[in-house]
Amino acid sequence: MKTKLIILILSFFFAQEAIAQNFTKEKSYYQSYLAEKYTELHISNKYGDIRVFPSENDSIIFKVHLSASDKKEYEAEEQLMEMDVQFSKSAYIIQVSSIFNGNENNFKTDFKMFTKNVFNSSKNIRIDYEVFVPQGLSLHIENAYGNVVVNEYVGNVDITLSGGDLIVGVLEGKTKIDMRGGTLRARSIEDATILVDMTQVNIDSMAKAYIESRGAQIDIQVVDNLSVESKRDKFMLQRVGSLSGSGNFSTFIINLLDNECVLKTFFGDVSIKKIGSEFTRLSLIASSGDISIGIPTISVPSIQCEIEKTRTVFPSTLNFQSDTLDVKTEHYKYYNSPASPTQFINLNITGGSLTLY
Amino acid sequence: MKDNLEKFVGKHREKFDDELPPGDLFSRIEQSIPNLQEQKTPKRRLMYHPLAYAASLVLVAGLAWLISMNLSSRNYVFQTARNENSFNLQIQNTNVQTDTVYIANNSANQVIAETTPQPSEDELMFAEISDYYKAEIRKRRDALYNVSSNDPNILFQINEELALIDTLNAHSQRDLYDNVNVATVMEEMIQNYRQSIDILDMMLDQLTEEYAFSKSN
Repeated sequence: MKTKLIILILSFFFAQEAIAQNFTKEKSYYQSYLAEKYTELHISNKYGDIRVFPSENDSIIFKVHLSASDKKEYEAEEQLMEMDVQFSKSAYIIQVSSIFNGNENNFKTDFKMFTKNVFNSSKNIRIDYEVFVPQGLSLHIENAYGNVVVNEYVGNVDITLSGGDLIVGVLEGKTKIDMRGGTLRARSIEDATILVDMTQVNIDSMAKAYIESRGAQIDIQVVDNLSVESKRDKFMLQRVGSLSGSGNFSTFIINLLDNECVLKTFFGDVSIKKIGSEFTRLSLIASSGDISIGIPTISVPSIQCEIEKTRTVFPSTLNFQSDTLDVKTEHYKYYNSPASPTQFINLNITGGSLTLY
Repeated sequence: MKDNLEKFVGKHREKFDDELPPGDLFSRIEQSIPNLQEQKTPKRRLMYHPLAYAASLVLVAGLAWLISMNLSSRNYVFQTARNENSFNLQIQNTNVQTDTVYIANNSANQVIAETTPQPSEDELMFAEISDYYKAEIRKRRDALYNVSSNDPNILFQINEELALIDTLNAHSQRDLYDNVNVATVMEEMIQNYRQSIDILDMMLDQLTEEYAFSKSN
């Protein structure tokens, strides 16, 4: 009797499981176009990955896989029917877009999905792209809630991505990346314009880059020429040739500065641990931040430093002279006078602290 | 302990079996329960019948399906009610500076509750999550305003950050209109909130440190 009762209870749960199962419906598209010299390729997608591979010939090939899953089979089918991929080609532009013809249920009516399914939603769709592109075209990718992977590409690339990761191998040509959230991982980018918002950035090397960022953590191994417009970020630069720009509530940690740095900061710390032998100039205007700079040891640079209400630590070897500009505001000027200097450091610091070592 | 007792009883079995039951014991027992035996026999036959067993399985599965359908339709009723009555939880105290988040009961929801099934705790989860983070952001905004000493440059930075947070959340909310992959969008939204709070905390730390030093001077 007891055994039968257990079997009955189990069968009840198995029945529930069977009812709770997910149905997945799928469809695929395959499309190819002949690429011409000035062809521009635009891909727009949401809820899926876009993977770009080099094409072995002069054709652009699209393999798109769509899937919809739901607890109810007919709803999964309905969802899939509402999803489509639109291909269009004009003179030089090939445009491919993911289309959702779903009903315009507003977010308040969708409370059913915020109940037990919020973090285990069964109603899911995916549109994944595999695109084979010949080198040299202009490539524009827009994606949301999915990743973008570009292994290697020679040509101009423009990627807009939100809620996903961008994985890049080697990009030669002009690259524009606009990201919201997610992670940007790149091995090498030749010429980059990077706009990131709360993104984790990890790049091995860049020749030239402009970064406009907010709330991002940016880790770059080597960059020759970097220009930044930073808000509430953390920059970790292992080796930088030239750095210019501004930061608000941003922290800059530079392990090796090769050539020059022109920076203006408002709150946030700046730490330049080592200055290279080819260094020429450092101009820093900083307000309310902790600044620390490792002075070159081979030759003594010319240093001029104006401070106002700033805590200071200077090594005695610099032989600084000082002028008091205003006692009330604790405004002082420190400077040295080396013979025929080739390196120049100009600092204008308000509040915070300054440490030279 | 038990083993020793068993060994002892086994060894001295003949001494324990010195008495026998009376000869008419079983006949007396049989006389006292004849009707009970008659009733139980057919029931046992039914319980062990394979067809009955299979039927009970089908019945259980059917019940499970009915329960599932019933739950689903109840959700639909609630969903419709949502469409008719905009649901907007409000934070009563906008100047909260403690760790407590006050989430008020909206009077409009009471009207809903009278006419339609009351939303469960799960159904209020999204609104609560959203309101929780909004309240946390508000707390930090107030703290930042307090510590900024009305410095216009700092106020500009704070307001800019708050505007960016709003823009970011507006993006995520717009994506919720797609009515698919809600979990993914929600996770992204929560991640945005958390990161925004981290940014505000970082600003607060830097400002507090700087102004603590200037005040000590």
